[in-house]
Amino acid sequence: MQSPNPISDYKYGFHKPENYAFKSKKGLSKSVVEEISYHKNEPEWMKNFRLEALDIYYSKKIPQWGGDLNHIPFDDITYYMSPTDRKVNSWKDLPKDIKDTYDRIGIPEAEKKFLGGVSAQYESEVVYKSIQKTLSAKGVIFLDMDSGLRQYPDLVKEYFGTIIPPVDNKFSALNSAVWSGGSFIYVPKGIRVELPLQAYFRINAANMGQFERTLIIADEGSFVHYVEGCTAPIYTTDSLHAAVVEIIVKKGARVRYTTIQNWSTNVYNLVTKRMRVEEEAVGEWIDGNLGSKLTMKYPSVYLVGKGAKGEILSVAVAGKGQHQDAGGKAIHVAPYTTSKITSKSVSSAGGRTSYRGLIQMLHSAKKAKTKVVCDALLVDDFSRSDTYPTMDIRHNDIQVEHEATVSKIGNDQLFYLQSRGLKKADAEAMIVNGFIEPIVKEIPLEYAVELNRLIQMEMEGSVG
Amino acid sequence: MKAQKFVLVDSLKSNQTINVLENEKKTVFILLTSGESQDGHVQIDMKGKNSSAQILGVVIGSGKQIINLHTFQDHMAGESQSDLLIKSVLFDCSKFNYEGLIRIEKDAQRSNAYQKNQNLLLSESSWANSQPKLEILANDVRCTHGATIGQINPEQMYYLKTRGLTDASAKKILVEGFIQDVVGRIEDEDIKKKIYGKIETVIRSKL
Repeated sequence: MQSPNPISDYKYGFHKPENYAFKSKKGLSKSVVEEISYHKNEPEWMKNFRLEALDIYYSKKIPQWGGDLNHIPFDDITYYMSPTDRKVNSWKDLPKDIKDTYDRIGIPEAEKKFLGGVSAQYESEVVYKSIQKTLSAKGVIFLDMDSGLRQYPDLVKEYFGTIIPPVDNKFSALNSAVWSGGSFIYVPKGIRVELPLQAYFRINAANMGQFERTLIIADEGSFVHYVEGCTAPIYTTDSLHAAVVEIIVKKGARVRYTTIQNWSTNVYNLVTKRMRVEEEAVGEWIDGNLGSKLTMKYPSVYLVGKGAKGEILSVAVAGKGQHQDAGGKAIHVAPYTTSKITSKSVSSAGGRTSYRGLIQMLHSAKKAKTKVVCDALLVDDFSRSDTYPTMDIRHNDIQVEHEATVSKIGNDQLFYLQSRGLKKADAEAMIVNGFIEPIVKEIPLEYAVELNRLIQMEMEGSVG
Repeated sequence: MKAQKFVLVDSLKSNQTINVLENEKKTVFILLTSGESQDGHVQIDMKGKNSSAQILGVVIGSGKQIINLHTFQDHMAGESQSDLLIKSVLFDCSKFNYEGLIRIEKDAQRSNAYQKNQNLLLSESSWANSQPKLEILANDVRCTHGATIGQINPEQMYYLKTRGLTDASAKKILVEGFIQDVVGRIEDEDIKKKIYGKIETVIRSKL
């Protein structure tokens, strides 16, 4: 086991200075949770929700499957900080390799400053305001979760914690007790939000909290595409990221949720994401995991309405010292539901990727269909790839398919490209990029371009 | 050609290990048709270089039977090959839990491993649970696995019925064809006949 905080090893890492208006004591206790709720001036029910969740958190054991979770420094974590008045770095003070990374990935100037901590907020105020204007004209709500709770308490109360209750797992209980930040989105009946809503448009809260909580409600016949994260490396001194994302897709609606995450390699990334998909509705997850020390994340679709459809695309890249334990789950409850899970994983430089998934078809899911495809690529001989799918089928009038392959980069492919004058690293990057292409083409263009460049850099690193 | 070594596993124990040594070729047949609930592990250790194993299985479940079968293809030596095909036919309220693991150890470079599990559910109340797993620690390998769970293909049924077959006989032909795919891989004709006869009796009593 590596030391949990190899900050200096992280080649894109940098420090964000701490200057918080309010910061809880290290470690977790009832008074810390009460303090968070008090500080946020929350309604009584939310405080009680948090406290109940804390009891559940204490009562649950640390999961012993998947990755190794026994070294999370729970007592050394600051569970809440209010992100105001952040001191800013000077662009000049940023380490050269970070600036180089940003340049090579091709991140716009304004965004670079935000990511580098030079500007406390991504300078998107103008963009955000004009987007907010068009959105509110249509009745769309797009706020951070704390503001959502303040401004729309009834709506939040109706849905909050209904898709992922605190009892779901230890980390959803932890998130429920100490959550902060995240997004709150409501799209009214029949409204299509044409532009993707991006987390970094929000200006009044840190967009990537440690325990963020996102709730999206797409009313009947509506459509929204939500994008969070970014391909550029995010440095954080917090070693635990435990988010909860709850999405309700009502009759005939469609929600697509795209995540690309690249945490620094000291982070345990343990996220619970779930969609409830109702009649004739469509729920889609596109989930990219690049960084972190250990990621355990299995976005799921609960297909509860007749004809509901779920799709999960997952891409995981594990480098040195990393374990990406990712996948997807589809629970078929209603008849004529369909789901598809596609997973692509790349292990290099001793990294480990594991696909873990579940397909469950209940007795009520007549004529349901599902297909799972997992492909894994091993770049060198000291990396590892696992596949752990589960198919639990309780009815015969269904169709279930699962297939997986694990292979290395073909020598003949490498030879061909090198004979055309490409360097080995370039050839490898080209093959890896081709391998994950079916997923990359589904993510917004700017992310796709950045992702390709990042893989190029990874491959150069792996050859030395 | 040297005759293949044939190992028949017709009831499950908590752990049965079959070793496959250097240059050895073995066929393991797991035949679970007794109608009794059972639970157990079958482990195939690919211990020698250039070892090769074919693992076949037919599971027929009926009544309230619960069958839990774990298989483990452990590749410890290089250039080893294993190929697994297990099929189940589930009647009544029977339940089949299958968990199959392929592990390619670090030193087992240039190994190939395959695993396929297909399950045919013949009643509304039958259950199948399939967990085909891979753990790959070497890179110069080729591994695939697949699993399907479903019922008799209605188009095939329709085709046979247009040729004048009754519902029952069409079903019988399709189920037998499904099983034949496994049994047909046995090289020794005598063994093949014996095993197929056993399966046929059980299926005929159910259809």
